[in-house]
Parts: sequence; C-alpha cells; structure tokens
Amino acid sequence: MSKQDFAENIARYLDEGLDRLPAGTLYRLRLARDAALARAHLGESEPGRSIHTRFLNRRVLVPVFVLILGLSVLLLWHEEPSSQPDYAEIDAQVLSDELPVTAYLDSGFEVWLYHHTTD
Amino acid sequence: MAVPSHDRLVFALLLLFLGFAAEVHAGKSPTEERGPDWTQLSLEQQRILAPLADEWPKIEGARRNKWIGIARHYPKMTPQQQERLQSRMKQWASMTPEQRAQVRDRYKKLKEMSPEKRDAIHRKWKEYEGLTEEEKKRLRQAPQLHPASQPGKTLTRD
Repeated sequence: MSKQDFAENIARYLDEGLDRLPAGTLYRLRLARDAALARAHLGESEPGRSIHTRFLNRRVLVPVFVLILGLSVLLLWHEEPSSQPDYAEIDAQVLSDELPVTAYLDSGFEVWLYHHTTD
Repeated sequence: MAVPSHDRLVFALLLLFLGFAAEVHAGKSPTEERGPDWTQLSLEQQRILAPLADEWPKIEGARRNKWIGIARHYPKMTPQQQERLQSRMKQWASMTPEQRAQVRDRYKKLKEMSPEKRDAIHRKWKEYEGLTEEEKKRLRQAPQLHPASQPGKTLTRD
C-alpha cells in the first residue's frame, strides 16, 4: 500500500465516522461553532472590547448594588438610637433626689439600714 | 463603547446611592457621633452644665447628648433640686458605668416603695451620716448581707 492509498483510507474512515456521529453531538458542535463565530464577529466589529462593557453590566452592578444596600441597612439598623437607652430622665431624677448618690453605693449604710429596720 | 442603557441606569443609581449614603454619614458625624463641643452648647446649657466644663472634652458623644437631655429637665426642677443636681454632676460623671447602673437600679426600686418607706430611708440616711467615721468604717467592713453581692436589697425590703 502506497502512502497515497494509506492517506485516502484514513480520510475515508474519518468521513464514515463523521456520518455516524449522534445527533446530539452534532447539535452541540453546531451551537459551539455558532457561539465562536458570534464572538469572533463581535471582536472584529468592536476591537478591544472595553473595560467598561466588562464591568458596567448588570451581572456585576446589580449584585454590588444589592450588597451595598444590604450593608447600609444593616449599619443604619445597628445605629438605631433605641439600642442606646436614654438615661437622661432617670439620671436627672437620681441626681436631684433627696437621697444622695453615695447612699446607694455605701455598703456601710446598707448594713446599718438592714440592722435598724429588722430590730 | 456599547454599554446598554439599562446598565448605565443601574450604574447611575449606584453612584446616586453612594453619594446619598456619604451625605447622610457626613451629616451625622459632628453632632451624633462625637457630640457637641462645649462651645457649641447654648449659653443656657453651659450655665446648667457648668460643673462639667473641665470634664466635657473627656466625655464621649453618647454621654454628652445624655447630659444635654438632663439639662432639659433642669428648668422644671425646684431651686433645691437644681442645686443638688449641679453639686452631684462631677461625681456622677466620674463614676463607672457599672456604678451608675447600680444606682439607677436601686433608685427605681426605691421609687416603687410607699412615700412613708422612702421617708424612713431618708431619715435613716441622715442618722447614718451622724455616725462617726470609725463606726461607718466598721459597718463597711462587716460581712456582706444576704444575698452576698447585693447589699442594696435592703433598700427595697418591705
């Protein structure tokens, strides 16, 4: 068998194998080809697809927006004044009351009061 | 540059939102986070809070606002109450948060008692004040009352 015959045999086998490819495989190959062609076409008409189109699209911006919104809501909720109780009123009462602040903290007074109220 | 118009809209909204958030944050910082400086208080507030003038720079934001809240109650008080308030400001500001919480807690319990019982406790305090320092010291060194960690319970005992 000459080299030429050998090459023709290989080509024939390949052609026969191509005819026997399953329909699903052919379909996927066609889709891949179309996609590659579309990309190649876009590359030609818009040379150097810019960084803006890469980052200024909804796939990037929407999650970023949602993330920032979520973090802001969390921060605002955390800084709600309700988390810091307002002691102004009770402190004003305590400080202007007849009984001095020292009385509440003096352990000696506690002991003395205890014994003198149980007698 | 072929950026779809809806993507530009989302980007513009994002920028707008960031600008708004920065504005809100900047608007909050001077008064709400650090609290007003002494010179930013009104003359009336400075007069009421005068005992705290020296300590004011050391008082953090939330507590500055609390003192301003206390100053709002001042005009409604009797002259005697006003005097007491001002004379105790410095001491109150120098106490630890735990001590202040303890006093508030005991004050609330005392307030729930009948006026007669409250008067009795006030009288007892005056009597206690009349004791010598030696006697007071002995009482302070006495074993803790039951329950051990809460001597203030006696203030609320019926």
